[in-house]
Amino acid sequence: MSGCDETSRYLDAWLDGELDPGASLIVETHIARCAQCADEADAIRSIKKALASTREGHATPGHLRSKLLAALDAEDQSAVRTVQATRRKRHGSAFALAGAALAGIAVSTGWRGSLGGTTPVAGAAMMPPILEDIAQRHARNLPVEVSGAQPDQVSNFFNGRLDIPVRPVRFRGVSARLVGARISNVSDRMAAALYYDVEGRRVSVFMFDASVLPRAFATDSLRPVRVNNQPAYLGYVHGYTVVISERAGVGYAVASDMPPDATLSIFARAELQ
Amino acid sequence: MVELRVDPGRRKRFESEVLPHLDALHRTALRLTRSQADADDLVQDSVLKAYRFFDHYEAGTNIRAWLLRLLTNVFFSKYRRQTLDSQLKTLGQGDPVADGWMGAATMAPNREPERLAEKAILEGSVMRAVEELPEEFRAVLLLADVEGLTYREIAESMGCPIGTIMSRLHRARRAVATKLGVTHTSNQAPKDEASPVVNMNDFRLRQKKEVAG
Repeated sequence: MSGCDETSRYLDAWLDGELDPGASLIVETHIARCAQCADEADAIRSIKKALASTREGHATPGHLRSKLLAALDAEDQSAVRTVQATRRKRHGSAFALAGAALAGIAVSTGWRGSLGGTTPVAGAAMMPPILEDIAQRHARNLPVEVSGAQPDQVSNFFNGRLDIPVRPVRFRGVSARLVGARISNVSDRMAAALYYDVEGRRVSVFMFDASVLPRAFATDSLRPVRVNNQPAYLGYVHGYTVVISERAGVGYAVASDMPPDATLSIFARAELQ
Repeated sequence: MVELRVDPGRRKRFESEVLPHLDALHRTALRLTRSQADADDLVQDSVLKAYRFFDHYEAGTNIRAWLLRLLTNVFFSKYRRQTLDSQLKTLGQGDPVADGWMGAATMAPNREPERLAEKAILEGSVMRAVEELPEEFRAVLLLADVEGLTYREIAESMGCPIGTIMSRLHRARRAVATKLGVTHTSNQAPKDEASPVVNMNDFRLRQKKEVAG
């Protein structure tokens, strides 16, 4: 019967109440005259019902609940220590970094640099927010197209594929391994996505044509910071932190699922070239 | 600015907003990781993350969806075991697609429509079938059918377009249906993940043409 295939494809959205009225009517009309699709709808309905019923009767184990509260206590404690450290350091424009690992890295805030400018740019609203775009690309963790065993091989992979030279970033003073890389996009431009393992945490570095940055600054809530005396921008979205900077026309974005302080400390150790 | 103030009311607000959803987080974590120990760790990582980023939660929006999004993000960045490629290969085996549904005539002898419609699927068996799904498909199905998130919320959780979510949901449900024996599949080759990207307008236009023609 004609239309079964397409009806089946939209059946789920219809059953989930996600189909607009016009399309719903098409599905309903088809189902009314097609026993096969009506059966399919019944089967999916019974699966939905069975799955919904599994919500009942699940209880989080008590030991986890108390472990969580203890973890929140520890988090509060570390926040108190950070605040105290910040108050002691009143002379700096305080962007306190948690943990001793960050000693010796100069990171400050309050700087408003000329990096791409922060004035609104026409058409900015049409573009996906750069911050969200980068965070999502980091989150998706797509398979690599070239493995990172040899950084030269990674450079060569991008040679001729992108308008910018791609030299894998090195991290000083932390155990970091280049896992691999792939072609990606930032905003509407092609970009290199380099995936690292930095002390066991997943860190993505995106390299792209820095001309997309002014648009990003117009739409995103990015905060200017200064890292190792160089301008950079810090943003976070959906639990991911992104630090963006520019060197010689190349935009760099370092994304991680760590909080801003830890991500900034990793960014501070990145050798951008 | 990164907030450095310690606000005593914040912890209280967090607990009263987030702890009621702990069961939802835990059951989702358990089914995603399929391991009690990993589920505990995943919930703890996600709750700590939620606590750190609580100031960015937009009050009045769906906090359960926000928490599940964080949990899904943490799961796929830290706990996933399979690449999407290997998952697609796994689901490719015997995965039913729309074309694979048996024709009404074939089904007729053992159809018993009332029983099929009313058939109560046992909770245990449906969950076992779900747990056999590859991670990306399992996550979509859990978020949609157990947690009741909207397609948009699931798309945000998974960092995929809504069309991809629809396609995964379609495939996941039919794989479960096959495993539970509530339907049959043919030998037809499964469709590629990327191909059934859904375009509502094309669908409507084609249907109109068919009706008119």
